[in-house]
Amino acid sequence: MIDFFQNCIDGLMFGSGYALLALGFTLVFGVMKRLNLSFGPSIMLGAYAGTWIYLNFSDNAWVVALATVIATIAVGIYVERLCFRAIRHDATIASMVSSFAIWMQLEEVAMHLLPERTYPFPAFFTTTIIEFGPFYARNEHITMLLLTLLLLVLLRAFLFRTRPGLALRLVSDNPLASAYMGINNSNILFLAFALVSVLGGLAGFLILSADTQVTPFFGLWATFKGLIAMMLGGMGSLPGAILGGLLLGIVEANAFWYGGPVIRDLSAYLLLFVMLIVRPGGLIGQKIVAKQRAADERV
Amino acid sequence: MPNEYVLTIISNIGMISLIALSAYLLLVTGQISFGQQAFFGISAYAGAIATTLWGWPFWLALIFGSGLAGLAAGLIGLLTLRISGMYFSIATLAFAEMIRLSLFELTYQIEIDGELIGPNGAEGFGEIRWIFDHDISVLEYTLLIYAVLLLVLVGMVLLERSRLGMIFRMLGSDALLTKTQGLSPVRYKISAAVIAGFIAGLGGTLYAHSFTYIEPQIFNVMLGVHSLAYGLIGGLGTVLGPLIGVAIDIGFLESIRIFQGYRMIVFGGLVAVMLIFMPRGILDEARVYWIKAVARRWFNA
Amino acid sequence: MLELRSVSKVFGELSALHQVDLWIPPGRVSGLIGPNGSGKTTLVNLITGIYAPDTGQILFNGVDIVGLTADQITRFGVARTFQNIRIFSRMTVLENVLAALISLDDPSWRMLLGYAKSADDPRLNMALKALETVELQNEAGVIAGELPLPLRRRLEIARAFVRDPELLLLDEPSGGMTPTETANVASLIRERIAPGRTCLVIEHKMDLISDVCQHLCVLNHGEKIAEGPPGTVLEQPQVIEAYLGRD
Repeated sequence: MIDFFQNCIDGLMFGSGYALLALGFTLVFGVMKRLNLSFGPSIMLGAYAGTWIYLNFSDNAWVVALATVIATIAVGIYVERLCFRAIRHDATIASMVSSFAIWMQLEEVAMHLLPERTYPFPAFFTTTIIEFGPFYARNEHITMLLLTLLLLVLLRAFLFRTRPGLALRLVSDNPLASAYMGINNSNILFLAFALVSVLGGLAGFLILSADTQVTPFFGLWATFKGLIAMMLGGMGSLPGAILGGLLLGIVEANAFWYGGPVIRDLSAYLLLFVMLIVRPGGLIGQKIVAKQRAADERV
Repeated sequence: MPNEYVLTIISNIGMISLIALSAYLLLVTGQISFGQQAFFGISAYAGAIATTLWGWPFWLALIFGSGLAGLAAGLIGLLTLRISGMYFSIATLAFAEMIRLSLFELTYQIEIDGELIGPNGAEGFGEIRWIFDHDISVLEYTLLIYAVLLLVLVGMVLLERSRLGMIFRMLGSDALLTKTQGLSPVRYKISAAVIAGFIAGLGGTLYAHSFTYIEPQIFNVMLGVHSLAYGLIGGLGTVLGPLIGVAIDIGFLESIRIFQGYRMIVFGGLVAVMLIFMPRGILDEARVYWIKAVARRWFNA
Repeated sequence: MLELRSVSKVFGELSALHQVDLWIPPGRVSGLIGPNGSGKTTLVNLITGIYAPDTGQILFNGVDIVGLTADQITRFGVARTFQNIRIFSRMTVLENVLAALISLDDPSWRMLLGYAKSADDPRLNMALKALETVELQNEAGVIAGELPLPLRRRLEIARAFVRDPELLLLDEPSGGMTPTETANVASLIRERIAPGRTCLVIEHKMDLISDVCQHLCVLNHGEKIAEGPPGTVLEQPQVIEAYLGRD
């Protein structure tokens, strides 16, 4: 029983990393109704840039974090231009496939930049284990959780209390009407991608510094975890993304404990598959799916 | 006598064409599957087990593996009937990864001639010796692959001209409109899934016996996206489309030294560019009609 | 022929249709009119099974078709066109009309695997005849997506009546057309399509309605406000008010 609760705690910690990734997916989906499957690889390239800085210039974790975020934004812009802006607004599947193809491209670029299989990544803190009762948690995981919640609060404040945030929400809801109201949709798209890249970059940095290493598999891994978390919680729903991330974390932690790494990953995909079949809107996003369907079926 | 290197490339083109045709068929019916590699893999393992561990004749193993793949595909088709668009695509992705991960846990070994043979989780499944045991040369096996491919192509051309093929294209164009023509998509979606799964399965068993070693990692998302991309590049208007895509990738990009190590960068970029300018590929439906019209005029002159 | 009893449909918080009763007499052209947003297309979607009403019955030849799928309803003999025009844009004009004929009988596997365009298939002749009726026979080999708007509408009409449906629903057949084109569509419907067939035309253009319809039903804000012969209905104050607004 204690194991189970400990797993849940671990799960929540990991889950917050997934939640951050899911937030990135959700924002892109919310604004553009399309999936960016290059999200993970963009972050990975960002992390590689951070690693490069770390290896060649500076030990400072803040500098590395900044480098990671900036590089992620740069790659994000590339992906946005090629896979999203250049493709017709309603060809949602084309953008998804295109971003998946670019994932292959970005992975190979990463392999060329840093050919080794694994590189060290700076730790943000020195690890201390915090104990409470029979349970324990690592401080960097707790930090990640707290930071995720903080970012969520900041994000909500941005979306609901600032003018650019308002514009973003308007474009999500009705791009045509927003254009008529004088909002420059391209700029908003760009803003969304930049925002998402910042979130992704931060998520990547936190996850990797907790892990203290980065490998080329990180790109695909981050995409899948973020995607699964988003779809579990509900596409297009910010609180859903958080919920999905935490749920995924808990399921994975327990699956890993009782079954091992393969069972852990298998459970994640199984959960996603079942959710898509039974409740494609995710835990929270049911209405969104219905609205989407109604819009698609506009007869 | 063509050297073995060239023959290997030609065989690969043949086998990968099968999984490309599998993804193409689903694309034509309007479903984007990132997961055909699952059926490729199921058949690879099943067919290889049949010949290597159970001593079955090859043709039986081929039918067995492909049949199993088709069945699995039909099951997935049934489960995903109600979902479409990106939900369907992600579901196929999830399923394929589930299969790949399950293969890591598949251990089924029999002692043959003092050795343990059979799939062994992450260590893969080696010693798929059917070709060696039956003294089949590389050339002969290549011809076998192309015989199967030819049969599949003939079948698909006939399908294209049949009413079933027309219904597939209708579904791909506008599923709602198809319903209001009095056709229930259920039957047709599942048929398409089963046929596509079977075709991928043919490729899988052939692959296992060609390489004599398979492991779960082969049947990954990369393979799935590639099979999809071939049709998108080559064109969705004709079965030649995916073949062209495969030829461009394996025949051209993989074989030419300059591209060594940059193949994905080029290929990935190519797909993205095609999706902007020619979203239905080089030989899309309009171009195929045009070619046929020109050919008709030319023959009548 | 077709009767709606107390049909209501709500979308979220929007009440699209409220307790609508309707009667479509057989053998004539009926019109369904009303300002934009009055619920006309919703009604057509309910009849053709795109979605189901929240309450009420839809009786087709006495049989309640609520809950049946769109394909089942089509096979019962209901055919329609779409307000936003839906055609198989990557297929040719002829193939678009052939597509409507595939399921005249519930297709057996033998029929499904047969060649779609064999010359001795009676369906091919039916399709060509339908194209002649709408004067599209010269465009038979053209890819549907390349047709200009008025020709696309004609293609949709051909596709709809080639099955010889018991009930033909035309949703805004003159949408997006100039007055000349509208008059052309009107005479096409009146002279070639309507005779001997039950039609329901959804429109908001008065000239086409008065030209073509023998029976009218008026919707406003999801409710029926008038029904009867055009001469009477169009004079009624609430109808005039609905279109012109209150002074």
